[in-house]
Amino acid sequence: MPDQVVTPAPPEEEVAGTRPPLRRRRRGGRRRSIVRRLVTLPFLLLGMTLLMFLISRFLPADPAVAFLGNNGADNQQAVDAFNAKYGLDRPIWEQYWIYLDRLLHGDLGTSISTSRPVAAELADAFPATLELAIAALLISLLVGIPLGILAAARRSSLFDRLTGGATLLGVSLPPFVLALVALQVLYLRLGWVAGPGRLDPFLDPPPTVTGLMTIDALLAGRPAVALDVLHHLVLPAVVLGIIHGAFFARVVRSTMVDALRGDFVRTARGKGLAGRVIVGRHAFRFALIPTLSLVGLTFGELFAGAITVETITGWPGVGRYMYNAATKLDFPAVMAGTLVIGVAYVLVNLLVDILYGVADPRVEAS
Amino acid sequence: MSSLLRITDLSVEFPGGVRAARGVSLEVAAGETLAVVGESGSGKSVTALSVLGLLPEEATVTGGRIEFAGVDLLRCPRRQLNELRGRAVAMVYQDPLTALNPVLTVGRQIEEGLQRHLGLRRRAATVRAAELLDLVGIPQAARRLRDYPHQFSGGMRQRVVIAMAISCDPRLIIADEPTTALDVTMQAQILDLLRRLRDDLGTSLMVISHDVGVVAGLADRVAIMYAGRVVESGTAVELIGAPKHPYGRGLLASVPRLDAPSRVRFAAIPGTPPDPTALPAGCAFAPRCGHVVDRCRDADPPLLDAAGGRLVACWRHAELALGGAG
Amino acid sequence: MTRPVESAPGLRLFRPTTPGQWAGLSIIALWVLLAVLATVLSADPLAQQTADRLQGPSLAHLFGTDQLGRDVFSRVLQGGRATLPIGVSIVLLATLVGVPLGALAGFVRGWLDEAVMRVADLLFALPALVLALAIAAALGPSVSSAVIAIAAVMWPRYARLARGQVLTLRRREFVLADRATGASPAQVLWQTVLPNAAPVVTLVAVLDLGTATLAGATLSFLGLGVQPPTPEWGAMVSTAVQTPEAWWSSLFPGLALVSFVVAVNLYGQVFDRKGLGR
Repeated sequence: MPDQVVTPAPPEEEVAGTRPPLRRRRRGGRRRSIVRRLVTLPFLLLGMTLLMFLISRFLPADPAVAFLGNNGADNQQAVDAFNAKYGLDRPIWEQYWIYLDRLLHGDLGTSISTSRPVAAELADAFPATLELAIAALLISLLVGIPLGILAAARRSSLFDRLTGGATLLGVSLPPFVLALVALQVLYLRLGWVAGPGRLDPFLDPPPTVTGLMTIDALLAGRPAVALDVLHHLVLPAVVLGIIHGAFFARVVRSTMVDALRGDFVRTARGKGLAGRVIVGRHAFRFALIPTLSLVGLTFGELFAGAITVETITGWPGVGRYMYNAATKLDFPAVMAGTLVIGVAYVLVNLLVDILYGVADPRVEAS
Repeated sequence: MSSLLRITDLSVEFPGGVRAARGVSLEVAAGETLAVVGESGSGKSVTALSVLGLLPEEATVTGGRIEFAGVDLLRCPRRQLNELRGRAVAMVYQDPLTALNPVLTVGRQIEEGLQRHLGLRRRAATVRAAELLDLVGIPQAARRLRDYPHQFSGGMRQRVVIAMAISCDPRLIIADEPTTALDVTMQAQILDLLRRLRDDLGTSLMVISHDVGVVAGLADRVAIMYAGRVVESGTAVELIGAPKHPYGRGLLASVPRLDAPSRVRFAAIPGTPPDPTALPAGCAFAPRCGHVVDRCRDADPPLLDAAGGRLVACWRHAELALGGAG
Repeated sequence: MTRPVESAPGLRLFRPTTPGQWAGLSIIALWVLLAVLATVLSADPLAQQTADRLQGPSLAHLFGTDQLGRDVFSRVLQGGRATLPIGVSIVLLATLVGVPLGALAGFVRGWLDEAVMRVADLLFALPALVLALAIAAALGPSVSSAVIAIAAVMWPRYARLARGQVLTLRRREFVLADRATGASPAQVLWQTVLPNAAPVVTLVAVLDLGTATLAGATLSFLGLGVQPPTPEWGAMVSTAVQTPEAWWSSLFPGLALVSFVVAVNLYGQVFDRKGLGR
């Protein structure tokens, strides 16, 4: 079984974005491993809160300054109130307890730059990023997988070499560079895509059902609005989609090449099956599994990439929120945003793994 | 007797000057079972895989003909070859675990052959696939169609491979070391299965093995290969009873017998097989042969006629048969 | 006593085999050279001539000028002096922290192993760049913050790697033999186990160079790394975002960044077939 680029650290090693990471599978089959993940989930989330708590208390020179901002900290009253509210004079575990308590009540702090509750701002921004991430993922799979299959089927041909070069470039591109270039060309020069925002300001947004505006617009029976959203979505989604499409293309090609070397391919040939069937059915199915196992990981990269891409293209999601928070040193926003993204990432990964297990009834040999 | 498969002078090379097959000639007659025996490196698997053109990419066929029912499989168009593969000629492979696709159900893998060659629709193919699994002795066949290869035991997997092979009623089945990857009890079962199917279906069989014992009960004719060539061939009864080539003798003598006294040491052939990139000029067995003379080292003996349909590649086969001392 | 080093391929491992890999290595070398010679080859990157702001490429300014009238060519060349060392520092720090921790965890097992692995799992559970952003913000924006933050997110990979190598190697005879002769765990680790683990770790480190450099540039883009007015490729793109019509002010630093990462990835393929799979 095949046992591994963009921005930091998928868990196992990989080589120049070509090999899929080996995934360690535990004994006992899929169901048990899902159950195990569900059981450890609360601990993982708890651990994340602890991590963010420790970072926000122990890393800054003065947490009060960090949370209130330089201006806010000038006001001694504000500082005292802050210390009282967050128990900075109490022992650490009490502080952590207070922190957790606030979290569970939905209090993610107040933004220094906007003075609004961070939780509300994140709730506004998050669905936009989710929509972007899903769109980008779809693009990357739709582009990357066929490209990888063709490259593997025509190994060492000119097509393969060209694709190899293009995908190498794709995984080496920083999202912010591609986003800026794409903005300059597609928007400024050619005017093919819409400007900042999710929707033309003259249009009314559809009632929120899923939070994904395209879907919501279609559900509300307003396809023109959906189209407009897509017009705005296409630039950031394509930028991220290209980069990760290149990644998937390389992974698929690599796993397909391995698959095509397998004895079962020889068996298939020995049965007189046509090349297309062998590649399309035998090799592809075999290569699909390690590829899909990377989808969860890709979400993490998409969230990270969204930070710069949303900013440059003006898509109002969590990424842009984090960018603003970071550049303005809006400490509470950064910390809360990181936690929320982290939680979302963990949940998405779990969901992807469950879906993946449902779709593929084959249990990996333990 | 018409020959169904005739391999003439087949030569196959691998990169690095490795001559895996050097002028191999074999025949399988219709309805006959031929066993090809030899140690690893003798070129027997390479020969078997060459028939259906299943050699790895890096291998090159440098000469010879493989005729099946009049068609030269080495030179016929790809489309024609694909028609024959799985239909007229089918293969059973050595390691059923890797031979089957782990991500497709067993049923699917059987059905695709049926759909491809017999034009069966999906439902009919499924029914037939269940029948085939039943035929090869897999219990609860219909349910098992939906299982994946790893859910079967080794012996069962090999039965699945056999089911795939017989699915389109081939005239010839080539079994490349069909029992090597299995334990002894399974070996017996698989061999029984092959025998039964062969008898019931009348298929010709070409069995490759390094284990003479495996093929003894199954074969009509035997061919022994060494260092990429056939060194002896003849009917199973005669050859196994009285091999004429020194290597053949050594091979058969080295098979342990249940009725031998327990203190008897295993007879082994001294030396090791030659390096396929640096084969000696004369007979390839000469360095290890107990009866070698100068002529053996100078010239590589072709298959010589030794009466009674026997072919032996040894200059001294006649003398040795008379019990002549070396 | 001899210290058998089983799988030490030596520097042969790093030798490029295809034209692509040679090209990659050359480009890396070129950028290093340019960074070293930057001050000689270019003018003052901080010199502002506001009269000349936002001029396109010309003979006077090969890459044009940015919105403060600074020569982009000089800034790109000198930007390498910030961007490249950051990437290297990150990888170095991550290895220096991760490898000993992981090796120790794998060697002594027990609670240390559990602890290290749990922390690593936790760090893997967050998207790396996002967490690095938070850490860098908490530490206060500076170059060292960026380096520490990204290294903090990358070390678990090396820890896992080293631990895996140690786990495989600790049962080998020569390690057991060493211990039988009374060598202390630290000695065995240092003299026998680590040299065998070194090739794999180096391999990953080289490949990570591109990723680390990008991460550093991204944090600088966000204002959390190199601070203005120091030229750095990511930071330069960041300021250029405000003036998208002046394509030269973003394109050239962007190209510099891309070319370096492409070069690292191209060269990184040298490890592809050297049988270093675990």
